[in-house]
Amino acid sequence: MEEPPEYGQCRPAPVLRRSVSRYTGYRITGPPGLHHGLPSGHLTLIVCLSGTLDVVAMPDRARPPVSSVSMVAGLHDAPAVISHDGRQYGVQLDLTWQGARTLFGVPAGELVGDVVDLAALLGRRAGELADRLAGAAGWRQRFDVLDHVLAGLADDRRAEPPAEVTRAWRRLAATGGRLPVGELARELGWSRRHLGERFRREVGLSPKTAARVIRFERACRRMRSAARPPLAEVAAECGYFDQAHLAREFRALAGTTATGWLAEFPSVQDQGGGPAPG
Amino acid sequence: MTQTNSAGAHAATGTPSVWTCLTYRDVRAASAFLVEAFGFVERASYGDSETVRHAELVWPAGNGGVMLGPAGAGNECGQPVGTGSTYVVVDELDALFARATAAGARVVRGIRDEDYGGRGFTVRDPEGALWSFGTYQG
Repeated sequence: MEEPPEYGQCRPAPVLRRSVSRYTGYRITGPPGLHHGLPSGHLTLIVCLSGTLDVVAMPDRARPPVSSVSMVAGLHDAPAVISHDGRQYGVQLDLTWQGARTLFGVPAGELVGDVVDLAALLGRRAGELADRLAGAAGWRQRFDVLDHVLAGLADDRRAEPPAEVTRAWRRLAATGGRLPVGELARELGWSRRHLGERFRREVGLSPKTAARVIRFERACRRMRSAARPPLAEVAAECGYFDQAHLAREFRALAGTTATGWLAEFPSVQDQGGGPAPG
Repeated sequence: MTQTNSAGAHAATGTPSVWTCLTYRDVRAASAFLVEAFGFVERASYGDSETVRHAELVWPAGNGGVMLGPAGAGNECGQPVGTGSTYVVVDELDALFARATAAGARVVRGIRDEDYGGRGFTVRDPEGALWSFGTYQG
């Protein structure tokens, strides 16, 4: 018996806003298939509520596939391909690059292009989190568990990222990834090279690639919004030359087409409105 | 951990402890409208492929919130669609009026000086519920 897909979405408690932009719970039953994890301005933390998550192709193709109940994907500029048996039941967290330090004590740069078992970062607390989420009665209660557990992990006394990198990311996010890197360096009073080095060491992507995935994330969010606007409209809104440009960018970053990606989802739509990663 | 629901906890977190609850035919569209036209922030939503069963929107510049639910036989607490009247305190009244009307809010009463103090306006959302905004703080 196929149940209709259900979902829950929630913004984290204010104390976590710098680290986590959004919680999404999902329960989907359908035919087995592949799901593409797309590049964006967020790292992704997934905890399965049944079964495991099987990543069959990593964003960095040199890394071996991984399968686990819970994992964290660093920032990436190529898709992660996930194989599923038709039952997808779990929670997904959109983490900011600052959140990697705050929650796990490592800079986002160390996770770039990689997907790692949450246990490698949190030890036995990863299993405890999965158990507590599985034991909670519904989405609201699960989001409360996340608020509580993550607030316990967050330790703002850990090393702060360089202030200029924070400022640089903020500007890229505020401009939807449309600010040229030369202009950004001038604003910060750094040489392009110095900005590139400091930024990449902390975030894992170059400023130019970060701008690219921030812009792409915004476009994907618009595409999945309830209105389902036409591709040409999304392209114009998000700063692509034209529809063909966005379509090429989709192929390059997602390894699939926009239409193909949208078809991977049942009609549970992104409600949009999530804050830009900042 | 036990969830505290005391007013004190709410005051500390900024979570509203008074919510107004409204009924809509299309909760998803209504939520999108309230975000676009007025600047509410969708804090949470729960649903399935057919319908959004429950959505929570908060007012970013303050502490109030609205909860949206779907009309229909399954919602014994539902009100008739197009009812409800909510008042929101704002600073930038003129900018909000422009934003709301540009998004399709229907003007019931344009901006005017209120005899009880401050300025305000009233509009209807696409399903007919009333929304008033003003500088009068209560």
